[in-house]
Amino acid sequence: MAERKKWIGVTLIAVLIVVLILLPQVVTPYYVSLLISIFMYLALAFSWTFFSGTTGYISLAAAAFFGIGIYTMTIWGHILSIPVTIALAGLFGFIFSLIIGAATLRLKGFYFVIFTFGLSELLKQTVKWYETDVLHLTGRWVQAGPLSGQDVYYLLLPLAALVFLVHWITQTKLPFGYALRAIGQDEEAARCMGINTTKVKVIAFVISSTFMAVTGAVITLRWIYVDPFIAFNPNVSFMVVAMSMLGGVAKPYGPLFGVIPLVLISEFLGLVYPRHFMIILGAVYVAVTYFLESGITGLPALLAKKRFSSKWFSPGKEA
Amino acid sequence: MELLIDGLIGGLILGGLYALIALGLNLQFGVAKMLNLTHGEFIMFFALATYSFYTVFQINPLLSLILSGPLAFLLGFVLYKALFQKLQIRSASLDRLAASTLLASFGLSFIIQNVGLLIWGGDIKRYVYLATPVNILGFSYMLNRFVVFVVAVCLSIAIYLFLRKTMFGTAIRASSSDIIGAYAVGINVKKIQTISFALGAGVAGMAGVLVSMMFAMEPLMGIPYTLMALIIIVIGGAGNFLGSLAAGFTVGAVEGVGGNLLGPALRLVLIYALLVVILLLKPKGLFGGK
Repeated sequence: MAERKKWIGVTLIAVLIVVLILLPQVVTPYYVSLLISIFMYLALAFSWTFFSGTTGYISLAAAAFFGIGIYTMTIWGHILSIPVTIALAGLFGFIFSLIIGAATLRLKGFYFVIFTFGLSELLKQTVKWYETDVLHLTGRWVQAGPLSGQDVYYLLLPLAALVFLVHWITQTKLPFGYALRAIGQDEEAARCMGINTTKVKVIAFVISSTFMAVTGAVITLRWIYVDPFIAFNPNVSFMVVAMSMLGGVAKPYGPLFGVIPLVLISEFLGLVYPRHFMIILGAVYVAVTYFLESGITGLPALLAKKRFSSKWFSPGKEA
Repeated sequence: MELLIDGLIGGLILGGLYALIALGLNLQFGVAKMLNLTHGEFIMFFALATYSFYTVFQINPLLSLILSGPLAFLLGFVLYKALFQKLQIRSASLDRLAASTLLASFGLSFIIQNVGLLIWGGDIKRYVYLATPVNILGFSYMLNRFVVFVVAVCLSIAIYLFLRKTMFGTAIRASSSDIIGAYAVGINVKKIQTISFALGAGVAGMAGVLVSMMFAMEPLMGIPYTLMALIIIVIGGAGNFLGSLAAGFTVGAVEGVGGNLLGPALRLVLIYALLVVILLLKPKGLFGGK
């Protein structure tokens, strides 16, 4: 019986993969563009959840690493071959996050959030200063590519799938995943159990950031013009956090349920109510924190808890 | 050398305003433990409202200043009760609280910014009030800046004295430094947190009126103020009220001097670098210590 369920699951996934591969061939370029957005944010959200979702260290540094990838592709994409530049972007993300991670992962909660945000802004302003005052450039033209929607899609699809696999395998099969979750639930206890929390956090942070940098490099191939405010846009950081929280970080596939709705909502709002788009997006953020604090995938557990809790016994609530 | 002194004086004048704004946010974050990113939007809203009142109804900005305090206090009170307090109840830990208030207030700030855009439009507004030049040590500054500085400093001192000398103020300080201890001595911490939050909002409202006297305004102007307040709180130590006053002046001075000596582009680099360095070396702030 379990054997059959397993085969059904595998077949479904195979069908899904085939559909995803064939999709850009049969839909209009507009939908390909939409799919590109979805898969880009999926890659970013899974990367983010890999570290921040599990350990609870909310990072707003997505924009920083995303931007590093973007700038790498912008500057070197036409000098080196595209695959090499993508790898280079990953390397830069790796090095930068290693330095940052080693220095800062003793910061907790609020301080960590502010630090990651300050870091992204620092990077943005430093790059801006360097470009404007030293190189006398306001922005740069992307000379690598531009690649067609389909080509970028066929780069983003495996990337997002890879990040998802890494996250899923880590969370379900590897002790490393347990370590991350342990840190997220009670770091003191995790340390007492013998987990080298600093090492675990740094490794996860570095993996997460490297993927984000790679994603940035790939998406640049769809763009024509880049400047520090585009590349290091803090909205990207906030979107990634909101998408992951909306989907829920408890289950490995959680971010899916955050990315797809939010990308679609943004698209829809941008088209139909452009003037009110930001208001409604803001309202979505508020609603997510207010009603869905465990995210969509956390809803079943949340509802069960509400059903079983009573005036006399509430599991998980503080005294 | 002249640039240095000019930058220092200008920076200190600005620093007075920053200190006040940071004090407001410190009341909210240090006491109620809420990361309120809408602080800057309060400033924006009251700044633009003052503009409208002055240009349309000829209401003197100083009158707006007096009215803004209680009004902003009320708004903050309602906001806290309606949104933030609920988040506090359901957060399992302080870190989760920081995350959820971060997201919620971020979304709220989007909403407020865009309501502002709908009301006032995107173009930059300014009005002229008390724009006569005043001479300090050979450098000239606008009278309105000076007035803003004096008002900001007086308000800051008033709040500081309130915190130090009154029972209520002491209860606030107690709640900010040790919540469990405060409960233990019988302080109604929930009430204190609500009032603190509302006080912080009241400060933001008044700061908004002050800002409107000095600077040009547009609906997206709130963001830098929120960031500046956060940076100052970190440098001064969250929950440390004297610290945020001192840090406010410091950051203002750094910005003034740095901006003059290094140019405007590096000004922001300097500020964020300062934040990053402080967090790396002394996360509890220069004056923090718990």
